[in-house]
Amino acid sequence: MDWKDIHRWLGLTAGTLALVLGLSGAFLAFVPVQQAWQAPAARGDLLVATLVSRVTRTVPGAEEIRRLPSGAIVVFSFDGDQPQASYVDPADGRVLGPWQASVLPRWVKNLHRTLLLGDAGRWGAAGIALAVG
Amino acid sequence: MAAASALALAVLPSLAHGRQATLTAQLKNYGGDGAYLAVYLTDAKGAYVRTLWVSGGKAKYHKHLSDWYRLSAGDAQRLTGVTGASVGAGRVLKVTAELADALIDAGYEIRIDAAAEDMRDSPSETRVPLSAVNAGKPQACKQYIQSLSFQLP
Repeated sequence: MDWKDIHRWLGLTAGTLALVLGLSGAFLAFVPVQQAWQAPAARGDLLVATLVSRVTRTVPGAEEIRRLPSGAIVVFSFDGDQPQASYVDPADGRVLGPWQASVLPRWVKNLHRTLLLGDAGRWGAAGIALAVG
Repeated sequence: MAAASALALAVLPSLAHGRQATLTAQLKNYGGDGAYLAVYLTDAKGAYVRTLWVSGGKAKYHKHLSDWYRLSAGDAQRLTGVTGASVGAGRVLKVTAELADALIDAGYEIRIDAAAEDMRDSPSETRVPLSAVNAGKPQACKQYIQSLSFQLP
């Protein structure tokens, strides 16, 4: 094996991994866009207390209110024994529809972060990102 | 003095006459990353007694096991010797713990807090009274765990 072979295989391996990181990152960048499309964002000047009073009126068993990166508001509650999660309209507390932690973005996030290789993959992904930078 | 030693028996069950209890938690297929779980014991007044097991090794996520995190804040030893990896969806967690006889049928509860990344936190995922009649009976849980059962020898 001469230097040209080493150059080729090292380049192909690192290049492929960098491509995977780049494409998965681009996909993840669109997740908040998709969330914003599903539910309106809360305005920056909305008081938490106001939001809580709106939500408790429409979702009686509300346990947790979470603001997603897109600004959309998700409310967690229980219907009897069944855990529920719904998007609500922050303007009036109206329930807009069910929310579910989606499986595909989760998988892509793990791919982007760790190349699906756990904590060792984190170092690998960081190393490739540094090499590209 | 008698009161103090009775307290020591309850708080340090491993030193007292005890039995090896086995807890089995079957996780649901909740469609997310590995769950962080804290299994701990509270007394008849709801006060924290000790931690039996914590799944999930990254300390920065432990605050999402919120009831356990708050109740056990004063226990500097809460993680000593009782930690393991997070538990994947659909998998089974088995924990063995030495439980003093004085803890059985005395109002103590086994509690589990659960959380997974980007999903809701579930403090008090389940609270099961530590009584002889409950032993061996699967107990329903809320969000991440299908059922919890414990065996007393």
